[in-house]
Amino acid sequence: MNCNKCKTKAVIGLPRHNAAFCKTCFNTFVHEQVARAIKGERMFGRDHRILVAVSGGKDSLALWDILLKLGYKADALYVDLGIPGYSAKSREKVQRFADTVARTHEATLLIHKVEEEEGAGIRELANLIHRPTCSTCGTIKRYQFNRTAVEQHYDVMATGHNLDDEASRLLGNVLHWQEDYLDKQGPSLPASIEGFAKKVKPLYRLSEREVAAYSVLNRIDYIVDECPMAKGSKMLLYKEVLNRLETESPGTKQAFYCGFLEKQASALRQGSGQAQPAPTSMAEKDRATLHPCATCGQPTTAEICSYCKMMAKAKAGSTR
Amino acid sequence: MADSCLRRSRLQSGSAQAYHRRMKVHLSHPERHVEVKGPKRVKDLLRDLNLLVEAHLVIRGDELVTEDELLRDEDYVEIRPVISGGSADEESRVRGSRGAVETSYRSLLPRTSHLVPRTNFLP
Ligand code: SF4
Ligand SMILES: [Zn+2]
Ligand SMILES: [Zn+2]
Repeated sequence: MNCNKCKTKAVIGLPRHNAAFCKTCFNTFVHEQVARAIKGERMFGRDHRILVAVSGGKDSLALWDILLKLGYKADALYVDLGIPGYSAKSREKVQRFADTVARTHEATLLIHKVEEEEGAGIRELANLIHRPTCSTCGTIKRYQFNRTAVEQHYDVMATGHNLDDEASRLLGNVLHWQEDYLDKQGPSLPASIEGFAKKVKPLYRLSEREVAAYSVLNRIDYIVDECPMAKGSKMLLYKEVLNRLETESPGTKQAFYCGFLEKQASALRQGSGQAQPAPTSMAEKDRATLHPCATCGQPTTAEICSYCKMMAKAKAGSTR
Repeated sequence: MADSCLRRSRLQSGSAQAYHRRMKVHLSHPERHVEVKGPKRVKDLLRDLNLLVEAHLVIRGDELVTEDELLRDEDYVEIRPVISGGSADEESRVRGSRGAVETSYRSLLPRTSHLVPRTNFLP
């Protein structure tokens, strides 16, 4: 197999683009796809400060790498969950990337340690409040990323979600007709009110395999074993199903997700053309229901935000 | 599943001589090493092991290789899964999938996809 562009030996074939690339041309392809996502979805500009959510996995480290190489101002935040055997390893990968690559671009790594800030590792916290580890983890990560972005004056928060992540999540939401979440699913979510950071997913045009290949080719040392809590999640099953479809007809994932985005955009265009637009856009919904948490001031729909409620419960549980 | 494929290819390869040199293949989930008789194309190796191209990268030494590449007995090959479970952000938003359930990643791999006609899957 030879590279479509320069005819030297290819290192990766991309059936959905009916193409194959050598390392150099593949890197160009990846950078172009990300640049296209950033511009097409109006994610951010050269002068904006970006906070990348990094985990030590391939997606977030590749994202950080690509943004820096494209010349954006991107720092990163790592949340240390305190999971034995996993957190230390993943943190080491993030630190190494920060020291070797990010530093040369004058980018900074911020670290949030759950054990120090929340008083216990994620598993103990989940036990204390009788909730599954992953949902506890989700609440903490969402909260801390948003809070850091807002407090440290970042313009936008970027996550490493790829096409497979987005397509499998869409499949899950469609299977259960989670309509509320369908309109929250997009590669660029605006800062809807004061206190909520804008969130973007610049890798949404790249498949998981393409992102992994980018990491391998560019010698990004990432953690291959994922968080032990992720075993057997529904998302893995949805991804597996989509990949079987992709194997039979290349381009399925992209057609599914990008088709959804087009429909969403045209529905929004129609809505805004009406004399009285229905209050369906996320920003409007948020404005109608969100206000500052009584305890911490972060935006919430309740009196006290889910993070503060969770921490209060954990404290009560630990002193009992 | 992988083992039975390998056993079969070993039987076919016949003589004990063939045991001497085989390519070493490093797999994950769970982490293990197997030996496979070469020469073999990347796509055939993945098919024999019941693994989808779309969900894996094949790395020879430290170089990424395409599906048509011919692997030989002297090669050291890593088959790296590229799929990860996704973050809690997504997870907690899909009903019925709160947290981890007790199935292993392996049980989600296609066990029999090479036995059924692949065209079954799409109309
Ligand atoms: S698998 Fe669960 S606990 Fe692990 S990082 Fe993801 S959400 Fe958090
Ligand atoms: Zn080329
Ligand atoms: Zn709060």
